[in-house]
Amino acid sequence: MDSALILATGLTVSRNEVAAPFPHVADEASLRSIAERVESVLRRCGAPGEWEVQHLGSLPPVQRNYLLERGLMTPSFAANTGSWRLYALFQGGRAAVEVNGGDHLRLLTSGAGDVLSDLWATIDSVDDQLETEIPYAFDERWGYLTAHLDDSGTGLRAYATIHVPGLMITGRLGGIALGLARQGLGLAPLWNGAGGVFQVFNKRAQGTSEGRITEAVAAASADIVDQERTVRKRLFRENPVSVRDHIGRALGTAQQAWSVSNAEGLTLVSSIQVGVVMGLIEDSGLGAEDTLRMMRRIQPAHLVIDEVGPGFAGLEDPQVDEVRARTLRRLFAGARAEL
Amino acid sequence: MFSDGSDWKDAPGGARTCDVCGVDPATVHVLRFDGEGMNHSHLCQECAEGEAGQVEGAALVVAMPVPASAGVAHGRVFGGSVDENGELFSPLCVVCGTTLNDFRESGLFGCAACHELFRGHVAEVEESSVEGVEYQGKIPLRLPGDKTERREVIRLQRMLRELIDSERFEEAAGVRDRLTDIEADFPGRRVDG
Repeated sequence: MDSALILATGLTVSRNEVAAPFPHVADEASLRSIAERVESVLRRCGAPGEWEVQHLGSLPPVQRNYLLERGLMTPSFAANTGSWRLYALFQGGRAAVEVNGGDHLRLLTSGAGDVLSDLWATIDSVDDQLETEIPYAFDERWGYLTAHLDDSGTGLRAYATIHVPGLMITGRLGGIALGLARQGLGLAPLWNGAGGVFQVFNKRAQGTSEGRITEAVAAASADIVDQERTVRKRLFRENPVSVRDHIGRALGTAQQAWSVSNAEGLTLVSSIQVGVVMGLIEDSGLGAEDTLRMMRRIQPAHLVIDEVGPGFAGLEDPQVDEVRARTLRRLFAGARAEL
Repeated sequence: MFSDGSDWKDAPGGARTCDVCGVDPATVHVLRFDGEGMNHSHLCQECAEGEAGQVEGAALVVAMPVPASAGVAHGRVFGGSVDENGELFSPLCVVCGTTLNDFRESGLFGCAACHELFRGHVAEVEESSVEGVEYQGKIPLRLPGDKTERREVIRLQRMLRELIDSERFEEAAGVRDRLTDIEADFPGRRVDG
């Protein structure tokens, strides 16, 4: 069950060129030089077409949001359109590189489930390729040097996205977050906590190794989802009618509603998936491991691109809620609550 | 995907104090969902732990590190620099033009050289980020040799810097020679970082 509750994991690595000023103080010529060198090395390495390189400004807002929703762009990079910001996608989404954001380079990768070790292998290889052209700012005392002190050292941030609605509704996440803070880890809600989805991540990249960072995040997230499992069992044992009622109502709404907001949609999918994992919902056509895929599928940019196509008024269009409801009705058409 | 909250940074400057005790620096941003909306507060670790203990029913407290935009200190204080006349002055990075005041304001180093210049001004709770423990992570490929040899180069570079700082120049020359020998074994790779 752990893998079902650890929805996804991700890594980002921050790097800078040794001689150039960091992006927030660099002039146009310096930013351009970095961008051109990165583009050159990415076009040279790997098979033809393996890297898609674009200027951030040329990506429409819907496309940027789509990449954010897929975990292939960071919110801070997407929000700012500074000069010579490049975005490079590797093998259709296996990894990505943000150029001239907070640092010269930020490498990203993410995958379903607890796959931090595999992700490190991918990003380490991309990092080595980039270093052939970009000599990195590095100090033998402090490691890789970045614009912000917290990223210096390994430059690595590791993230685990976890599904913990039971811990959320029982008010236990505050204590858990404080415990994590003592270990140098943080806990932050995704989608403002809708659906009980949270991220565990390391707060510092300094004074440790990449292996220890990923191990700490993996161990902490495994421990938290174990607590979630215990809470779910206890809730069902103590009040089975209330749990069945909550899950049954969520399924009913998902099968019958005609307009569903993003937050409501996430909460519905969350409750239904709790029911699937606990064996209280049958024939949903979806596995326990599909939670994040479904949650992504009802995000605004995914609905616009996958369900509607071009020509839509935008992500704020009220029709998005109708398309979301239609998608949910279709997703859960065959599901039924166990009686 | 990456949540906005997970992309947080500690603020190196600022002096926000705990909303409850009003004494200790606020280090935790607490969000409380109570069914009617969301309340924010900025607390020190001790008061935040007290808050967590008071949560009942369906209320939720999520504790997150204080984001930089909130301008909250995270156990970091800046020391000033004093010139030969005893006057306070703000050091300037000659490579990128960043001053200590710029760094204090934004919390951002302007270039690699800024780390050397400004790290000494950040008195951290964790001393490791100023000097302290040996770097343990990945080492750039441009350093010579395999992983073990590159780590040895890092160790020697660190030793060289410390010997020069303590004016033990003869021993430093010996370490420098060993680094040069390693460089000679791996043409095209630099050992000076």
